[in-house]
Amino acid sequence: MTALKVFLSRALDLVRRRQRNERFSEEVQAHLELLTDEYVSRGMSISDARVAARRMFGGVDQAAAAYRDQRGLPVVDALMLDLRFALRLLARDRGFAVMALLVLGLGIGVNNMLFTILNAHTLRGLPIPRPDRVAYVSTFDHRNTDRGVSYPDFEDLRATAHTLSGMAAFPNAPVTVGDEGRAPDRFDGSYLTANALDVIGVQPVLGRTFVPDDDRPAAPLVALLGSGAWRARYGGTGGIVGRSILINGAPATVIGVVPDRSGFPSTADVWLPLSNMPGLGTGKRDARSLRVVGRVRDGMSITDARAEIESIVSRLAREYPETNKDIRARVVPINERYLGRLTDPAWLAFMTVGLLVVVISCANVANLMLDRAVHRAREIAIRASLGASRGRVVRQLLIEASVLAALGGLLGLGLATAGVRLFRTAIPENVLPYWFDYSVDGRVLAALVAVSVATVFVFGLVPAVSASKTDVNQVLKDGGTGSAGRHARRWTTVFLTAEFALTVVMLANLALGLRIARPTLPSDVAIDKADVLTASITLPPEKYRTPGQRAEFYRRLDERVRAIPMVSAVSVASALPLMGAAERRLDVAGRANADGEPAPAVWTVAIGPRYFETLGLSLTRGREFAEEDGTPAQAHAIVSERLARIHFGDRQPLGQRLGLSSPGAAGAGAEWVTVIGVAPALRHRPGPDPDAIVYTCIALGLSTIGLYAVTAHGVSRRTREIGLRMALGAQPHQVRRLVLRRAMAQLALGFVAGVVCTVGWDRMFSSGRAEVRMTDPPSLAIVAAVLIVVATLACLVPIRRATRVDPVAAIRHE
Amino acid sequence: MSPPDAEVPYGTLDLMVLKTLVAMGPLHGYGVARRIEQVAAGALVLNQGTIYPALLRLEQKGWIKSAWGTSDHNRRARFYSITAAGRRRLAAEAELWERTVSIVNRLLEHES
Repeated sequence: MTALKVFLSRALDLVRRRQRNERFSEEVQAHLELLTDEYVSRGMSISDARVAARRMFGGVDQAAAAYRDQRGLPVVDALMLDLRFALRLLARDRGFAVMALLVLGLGIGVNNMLFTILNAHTLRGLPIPRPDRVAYVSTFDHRNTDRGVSYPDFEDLRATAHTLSGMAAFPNAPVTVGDEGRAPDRFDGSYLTANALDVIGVQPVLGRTFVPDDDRPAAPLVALLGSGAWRARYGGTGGIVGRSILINGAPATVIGVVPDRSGFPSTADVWLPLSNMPGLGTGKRDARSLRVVGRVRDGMSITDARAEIESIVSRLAREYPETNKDIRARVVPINERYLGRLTDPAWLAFMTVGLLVVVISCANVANLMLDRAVHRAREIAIRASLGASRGRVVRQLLIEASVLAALGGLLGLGLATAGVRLFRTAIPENVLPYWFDYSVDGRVLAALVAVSVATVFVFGLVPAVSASKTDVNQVLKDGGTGSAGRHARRWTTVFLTAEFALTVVMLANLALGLRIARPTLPSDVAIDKADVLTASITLPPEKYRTPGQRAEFYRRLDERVRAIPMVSAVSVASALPLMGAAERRLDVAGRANADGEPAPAVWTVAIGPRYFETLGLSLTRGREFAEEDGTPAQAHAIVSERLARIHFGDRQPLGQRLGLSSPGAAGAGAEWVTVIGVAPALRHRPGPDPDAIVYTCIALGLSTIGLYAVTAHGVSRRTREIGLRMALGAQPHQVRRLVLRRAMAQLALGFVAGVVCTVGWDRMFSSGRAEVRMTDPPSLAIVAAVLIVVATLACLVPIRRATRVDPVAAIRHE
Repeated sequence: MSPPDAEVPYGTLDLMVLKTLVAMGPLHGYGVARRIEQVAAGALVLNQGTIYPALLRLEQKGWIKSAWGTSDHNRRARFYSITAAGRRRLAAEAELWERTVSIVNRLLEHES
């Protein structure tokens, strides 16, 4: 208690330093005056009395020193002194400080931005109370394919499971919301059991959530709106609760509004009671479309719940063998199901990139610090000769590094925030699941601080230790550079080599991505996006029950849109180019798949007539679909050139028969279609991450700055030597070669190290894409070309400076 | 022969200062130093400057408090007074001191 009081008092002194000092000198003054008064009253002369008083008081300086030690915290005092000194030095070396801060801020910023995204996708989890107590129930079959739960199975689970206090099912479906006399809007929707929002822990902002009566088969239709839908369609005004609207064309009453950021299960904006789900009443035990969550009852654990559900599901498998044979349950905490796995190659690559960027920028700053230390060798030697211990010198340099890291961290936080905002605006609203939260939370801040602190040791420690080894005598004797130069150069080479190696890996990765993407690039360009408008619609299944009704709708839509004078062509498709597609298994008539090998996967899109015409593309062979294609007698397909090349080779693709089946059931139940056309390769897979381009540019920029820094400092360190050579008759081209030789040797070293790393990276991450590899000569040639260009750019300024060295001034230069 | 001048035994200065403040009421640093010297009647050499770090230490521990005031000779000086915590501390210190002294005394008597 007393110790704490003393500490607080001393800590307070740090702030009140001046007051404390004044108080002491005033007290001493008063004391001396009182003593003097006494001696005078004893009959001494004033001047004698003063001398006697001083003698009696003892050493004023010793007392002052003792007093200073007693007040404040001496360690902090010394640190503050170092800190002030560091700030002064950085302010003086503005060029160095700005470059180092930019590099560091960029590195920390990119790292923190990546961490923020990683945090949102893989660590934060659902914003619900006690997510660890919410179990996610799904099933899997003998192929280990993930399945949902059928409604009859769900009813059995709900009736017999005692470990879960509530169970809810939530299939997703787009929902059309309409009002009399107004065009309808399409929202993402979800069908929920009455207790679902209680299980998840969502409270309405207006009205109420579902009650069991809402979920009875003949109950009047009610709907819950999300705040997003409420604002978008109803202006966020009152009077929404109790209002009658049209849901998928049927009248429904709005009973409540739920808050923002609760679009459970993912992006939902409208919720309806489960009993309204189309097809639910058919009671098929093998229609496994429900996702199920439940809250674990108090006193039970998720393990208890898992055991119970597993036993119920295996009992169902025994009771209903024709539908449930080999169906087993999977019960996991809900976050485990929702969150990305950190061990996924994609996230591993993500983290590696984040780490690499920070390491690269640290290496750069370390290079800058090392070269600066060379210039400071004299200062450090003088400090050492005045009695500064090695530890003291290292501490001083580390404090300078810490100041840089702290400022760099702040800059990084700013850049990361801006970067995340950019990332966020690049993604359309309503596509991201509601629980992705990219705001800065404690974890993001902790990561920022940890990374910033770590950078001090990565970029600060080696230069500090290296500088502290300065040989005092030698430095003071030969006036400036000394042996620190040699240590520094060795470390510089190590850092820069590592930096270029990392850049090579990232460039090779990007080159690979570009080469994979290349075959589809011409077709991307061929679509003149400026003139193409898109819109998405969903037909309410209640209103359009049969394929015939749906086809009729699309025919009429086509007719009426085409009638608009400004429209030259119109078509429909199940997915837009580059927006993904449905995966199917492919069988080719007359060709057996190898035993045990799964049938190859293809991406399929359903399209209407004039699809390619509308996109401004023409087929390379055959014809487009006509109105009658797609009927059972006219099961036709158009394939891409790529598919034709891979599966038919030189044979005529038109007239070939293809079998398409869903991924789970290859062979059996395949739908056979005849090829009637061949289209240029359009891309329906998600492309390589465009962010990779940004990151590689950053890495490349950083290593360019690194090479620039090292070459520039190399030149200024050798100013004297260059001047001497020029005085002895060296020509500018010889000087140029002198500078370039080192830079290119460095580049070659980095490139070789990079290729070695790339081979390792390639082995680790890209086993799947055997057709193009990161270590192909074309990839490496691209990388080498890019590196040589930037290295030349990095050397331009230093070379100019070197060839303009004035021999006379240079020889005097210290 | 008078006993040799002694330095202030380590750790006893706090005790002396606290006792002085109890006996004399609020007092400035000079007064504390003077009073200790008077009581010691020349048996103790007090380096008067050392009283100030000691006063600061006691104040940091919360045993004394201080405020500016005016001395008898109309000079501005900082006056120190003991706090309740200081009184408790003094009692504890005094008891400890007496015990220590009596132990040492008994030892000395035994030896002679």
